[in-house]
Amino acid sequence: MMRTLAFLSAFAAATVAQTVVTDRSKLDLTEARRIAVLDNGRFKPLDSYAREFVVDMTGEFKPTLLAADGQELALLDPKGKPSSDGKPAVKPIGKQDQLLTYLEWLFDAEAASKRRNILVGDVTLQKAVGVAASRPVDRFASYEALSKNETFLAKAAELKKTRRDNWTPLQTEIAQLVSRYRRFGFEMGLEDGGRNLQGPAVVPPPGAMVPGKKYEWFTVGHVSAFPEYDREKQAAVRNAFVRIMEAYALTDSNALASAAKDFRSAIDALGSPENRDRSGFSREITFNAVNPFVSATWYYFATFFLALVAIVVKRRGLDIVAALPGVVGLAYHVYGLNERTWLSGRALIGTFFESMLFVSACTFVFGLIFEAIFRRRWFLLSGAFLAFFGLWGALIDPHFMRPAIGNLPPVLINTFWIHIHVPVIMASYAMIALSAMMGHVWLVMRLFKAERDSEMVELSRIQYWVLPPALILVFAGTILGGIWADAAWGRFWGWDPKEIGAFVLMVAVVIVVHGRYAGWLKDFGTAIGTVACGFALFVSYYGVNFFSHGLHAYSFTTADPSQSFFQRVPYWVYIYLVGEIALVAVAFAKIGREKKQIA
Amino acid sequence: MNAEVVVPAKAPFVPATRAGGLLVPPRGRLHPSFALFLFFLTVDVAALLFLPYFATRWTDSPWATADRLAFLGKAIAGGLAFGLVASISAERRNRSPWWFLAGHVGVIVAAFAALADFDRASPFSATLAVVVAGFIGAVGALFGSSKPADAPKAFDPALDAICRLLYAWSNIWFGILLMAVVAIATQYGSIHENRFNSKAAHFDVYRSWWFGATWFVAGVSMLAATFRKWPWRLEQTGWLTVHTGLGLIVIGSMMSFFSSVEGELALREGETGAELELRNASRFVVEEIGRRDDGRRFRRSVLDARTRFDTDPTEQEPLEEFRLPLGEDGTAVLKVDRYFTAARPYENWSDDGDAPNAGIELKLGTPDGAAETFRLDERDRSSERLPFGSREFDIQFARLTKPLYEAILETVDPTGFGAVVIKDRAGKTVAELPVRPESRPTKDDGATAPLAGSAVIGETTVELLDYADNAGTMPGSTEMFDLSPGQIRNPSVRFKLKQGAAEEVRIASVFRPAEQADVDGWMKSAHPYAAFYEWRPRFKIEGPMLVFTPADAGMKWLFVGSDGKAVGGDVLAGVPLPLPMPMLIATPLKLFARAKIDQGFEFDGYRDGAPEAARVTVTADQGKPRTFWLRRGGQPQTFDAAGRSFAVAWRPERRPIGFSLKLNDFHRDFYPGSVSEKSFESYLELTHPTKFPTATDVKIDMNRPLRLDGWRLYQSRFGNDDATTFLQVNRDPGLSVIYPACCVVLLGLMIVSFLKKPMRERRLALERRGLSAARHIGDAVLTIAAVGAAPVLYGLWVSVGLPFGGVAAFLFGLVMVVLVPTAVVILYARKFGPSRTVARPESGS
Repeated sequence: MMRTLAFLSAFAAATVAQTVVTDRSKLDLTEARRIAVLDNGRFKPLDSYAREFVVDMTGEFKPTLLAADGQELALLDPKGKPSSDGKPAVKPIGKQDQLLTYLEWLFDAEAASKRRNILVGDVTLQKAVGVAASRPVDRFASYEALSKNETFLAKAAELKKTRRDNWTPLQTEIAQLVSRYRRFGFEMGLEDGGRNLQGPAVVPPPGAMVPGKKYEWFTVGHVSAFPEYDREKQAAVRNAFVRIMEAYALTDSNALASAAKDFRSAIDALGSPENRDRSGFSREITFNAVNPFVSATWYYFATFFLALVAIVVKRRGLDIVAALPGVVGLAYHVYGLNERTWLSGRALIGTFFESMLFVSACTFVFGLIFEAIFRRRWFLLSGAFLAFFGLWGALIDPHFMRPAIGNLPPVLINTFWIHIHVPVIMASYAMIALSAMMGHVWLVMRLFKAERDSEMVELSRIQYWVLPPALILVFAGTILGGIWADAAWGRFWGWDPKEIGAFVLMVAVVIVVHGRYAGWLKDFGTAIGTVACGFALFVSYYGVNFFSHGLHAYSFTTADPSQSFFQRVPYWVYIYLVGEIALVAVAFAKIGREKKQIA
Repeated sequence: MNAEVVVPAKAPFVPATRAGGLLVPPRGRLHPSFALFLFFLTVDVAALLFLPYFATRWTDSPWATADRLAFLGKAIAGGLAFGLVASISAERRNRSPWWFLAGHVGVIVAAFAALADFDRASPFSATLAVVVAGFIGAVGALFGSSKPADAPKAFDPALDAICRLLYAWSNIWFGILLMAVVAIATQYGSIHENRFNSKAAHFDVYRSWWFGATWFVAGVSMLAATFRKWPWRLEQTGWLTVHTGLGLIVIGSMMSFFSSVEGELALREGETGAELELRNASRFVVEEIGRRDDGRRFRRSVLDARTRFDTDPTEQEPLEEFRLPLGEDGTAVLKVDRYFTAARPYENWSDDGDAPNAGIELKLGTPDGAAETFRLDERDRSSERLPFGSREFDIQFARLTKPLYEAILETVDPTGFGAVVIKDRAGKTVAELPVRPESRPTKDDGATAPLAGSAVIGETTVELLDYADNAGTMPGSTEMFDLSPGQIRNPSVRFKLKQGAAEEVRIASVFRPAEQADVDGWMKSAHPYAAFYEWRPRFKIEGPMLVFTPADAGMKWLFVGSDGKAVGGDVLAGVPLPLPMPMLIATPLKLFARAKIDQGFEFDGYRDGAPEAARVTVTADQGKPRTFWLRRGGQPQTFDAAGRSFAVAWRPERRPIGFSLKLNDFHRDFYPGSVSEKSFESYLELTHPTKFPTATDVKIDMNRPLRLDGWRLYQSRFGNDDATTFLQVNRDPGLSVIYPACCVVLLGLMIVSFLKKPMRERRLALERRGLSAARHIGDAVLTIAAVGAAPVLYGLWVSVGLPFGGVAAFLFGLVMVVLVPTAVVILYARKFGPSRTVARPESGS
């Protein structure tokens, strides 16, 4: 193995200088994808592991691979014309398969350590850790650059001196960077002068899982550490792995496929009791390849766009055409939700990301239902926009959203009620979002249309009708949350920030319902009320994470106890708030002017 | 059904018509019976529940106990129900609605019963008295107003004012305002929690009088709005159901507010517990420690009081005094002058103590630069135990005598047993008696090895008696025992001094030479000599251990490895000890001769879960004040006053749960391939005096609590040692009302959202057919039942235990809770609904 590594290093040195890399996109990775890895509580195919690793390092699903100088890596272009000084033509490497990227890092670790593969973060963080923050590519740094960066190392050492609870948001970000840096170094064997290749945990230990004891798998190098395994079988595992490396280095597609297959057989031959049937892997690999949520996002966008056209053109046939892409998107979405549920072996109740997947699906379903009842295109438009926006928001920043399937904390496992509470409260969020969207539509439309315009009259009539079912759902969801809390940690109502968020949201809806009933809120008032409910929803759903305390604060919270509440709120929240107020103010001015004219 | 009544022209406020059987009140006023009901609801709750509760909740007064509040709550409910019946029946005969007071008399009885403590002495009789009083009052009202008046009387000014007040209270604008206030107050609580901690939010907001009052005022407003709509119509079934449910939720919340108990039960493996520690209530306990005349020690409680100083976590300098009467010697005052809701202990070391107390500041590190500083002294902190690889490593500070120090360093096994050497005042040897035990005991029964040999020095004869490897003596006795024959821990020789007829027995020990030299009389009077047992034995101790000891000049160190080999030398500040372990670098930083440790706590923000600390200053009449810190639930501190000793502790309030639990095992499960926990499980043995008289095995794990006698015990957290479990224990009687109430609200919301229009149609149809009011009520009830039956059945199944789980249970729930009610609603709406007038969309234009 060492010989191969030396060979690879020499090979790497030749390519790094030119930032031109070998084109391996034709390699057959089908067999390699199916290698089993035990990582973070889940047995998964190497394909998923590589995807999660790449996201963890770069913060992107498919990163642009950058050389040390920040330029995108290049491939030789056999069809292109050589440059005037005789250099061969090159083309940018583009977005390549994540497993390929992972293998490239793993088998060519020295080169990988020199390339900008590790996400640093925004300019504040770049400056804080002493990275030159002059170009967009400085978002990323190489392992080697970080290893030599005294400021970064000093900041990393400083973290140990402060208790984790007292870290500032910046320190939390630095800690995440340190964790990325360490993981990259460990995985690629860079920590110990590059001699100690680690790679994924693919070797099961000889013993079975025992309750109350930690259980883990080991990297290829550790196979010899188990005397229980037959020496020949150990050698078979090692040899197959070396053959994978060689086949990769030589870009031999067939050899790679057969070596990966042999590697899997060699692992199976070890006879570990926990190396169970992995037949579900092909389903997971298909799910990875289909990438249903990304597809759904753009189908929803198509429906949103077509619904806008349909509103202008007003042709019944076009309505159906407009709805079709959304329905296809919904099919993708439902497929994705189903597969993710099946893969994780639990309902999608674990993270903010999962809740956004569910809420966005609900918004479109509710939009469709209301559209079927009222046939006014506004619901289709609103539902499609919210579904698009929700999915886009969930997928735009994987570094922030953590899309990998994670472990549920014990409090969420095994409860009947959590599986009812979460879908219901999420459905209520979707319904309130739809209602708020209708409020926005009303306000925007009112800027262009007169009060007595037939379309405006219709819109005024239907915009309110989302709110009563929303009230039922938000009340049911909140109460079910209490029942779950009672079952999980022993109290029905604990004045947790999330509970209060849900309660305030419910009261906001109740106020609008009563205001409408009392005649206090007419159409304009109802529109403002639903928009305000939308803000209450935002505070309840997302804003709770500004609070450091609370049982529902998702893991990405970086609340700084030394900052005031208002400092903790991100700037874009203020922009959102000002935008809403401006919209209402403009509509108010328009309506006031009209009334004056009538008078 | 509305009946015209004759109205005298002179009365300005006399109602003119009846609707739904009750008078239609003049404009701007609520119906008097309902107004009185709500008025007395407010007065009763304020006077009997809120005021006494908030006035006494930090004391041991029985007014704040759950039992009394429950008694009063039930009395109020009964009084209001009887009052309403009395008032309505009187009003229907044109009599005064003030007959309400007759039905309400039970509340007065209850108040007096509580004042006289009768409700605690005899709960059943007190309840019976209240019910009987209410019943008699209501029946009296029925009889007293049995003769109908010709026409209703005008409202008297008081009644008129109450009706106006409650009418204003029922205003929907006011209601919306109250809802907004409730929402803002609740959100404020969340912000307050964020700024301080959850305890502060509970103290300052959620359990404050103003927060409770806000909710109560909003609840009354909702009830008033409901009564204002009388007579109710069929299509109002939905929101009436909603408001009924909300009213029940308010009642359930009040029950929770006044009587829920929340605490924690901590158990180590092998421990048994039967009491929970309340989270938000503590006691200040002082015990006197002393000896009785017969010499036996005693502890007796002299003060045990509820604390108030720790109730407001945002207050850091409270002032609460506890007075401890000392009889003729006056009073000791314990003043708590500082309180930290989250405290961090600190220590200041100085070298200016009153008494000699050697100490050392030591930096322990590893070659890779990690280091930690420790301080040890001989008096207060004499040892530290550190994890070291897979085992533990002890550091000790001990005053070792020179022979003991040398005996630990000795590597050669001793030959012989040395000799007792008698020296004169100048230190010159005058006699030497070799120690040669004739036969050494093998059994561990205290027997010593007899010795022979004697010497005559002047008029004194010294005669060796016996030898022990590990000598032990009883106070006041000259007996000597060998505590561990064969193990040299305290080698000693007993000898007899004879001078004429006088005899005296003494002991000489190798490791305690000074004791012999100091014996009075031996040096000063009759025998101007000292006897020393001189020997070089080995003293083996188990390593790894690092020991520091004060020496004649400076300090010495001693290291015993895991293999038992010992090395030692002088300690010099700043010079690393030459330890035989390359992985451990120990550098003495500072040496103390008179170390003084000033310990205390400093404020550590508002973190939840950090220790709480309070500073106490004790002043006895003439003594110097003494100040110390107490940790909530921590070790007691001692102080002396008027020649007596006391121990003071600050403990969480405890409450028995009526059964006991023994923790057999606690463990955590992990997700494979990660360090994140999958479950926490406690395996316990439950003993209950009646239900489980013999111990029964139970398991409490995450999401699977133990429910017994109204208590619920949940797996909440675990100790760092992985062998301690913390069970959250609580009891919340309000939930038995809140859960059904929530279902009622949901049911109402469904009806109000989807059935309002068809129910209106239904009412019009019934009215056209001239059917009775009972038929309307029947329709309303049937509608509620039709929509609610499936969810209720499902709720019952879940609470009894579904015969299946997982996806099947979920789907079954979906059908019962969503699909069946939806189907009922659709069928109902189709049957009685208005002709569909929803405009069809235009087909393009």
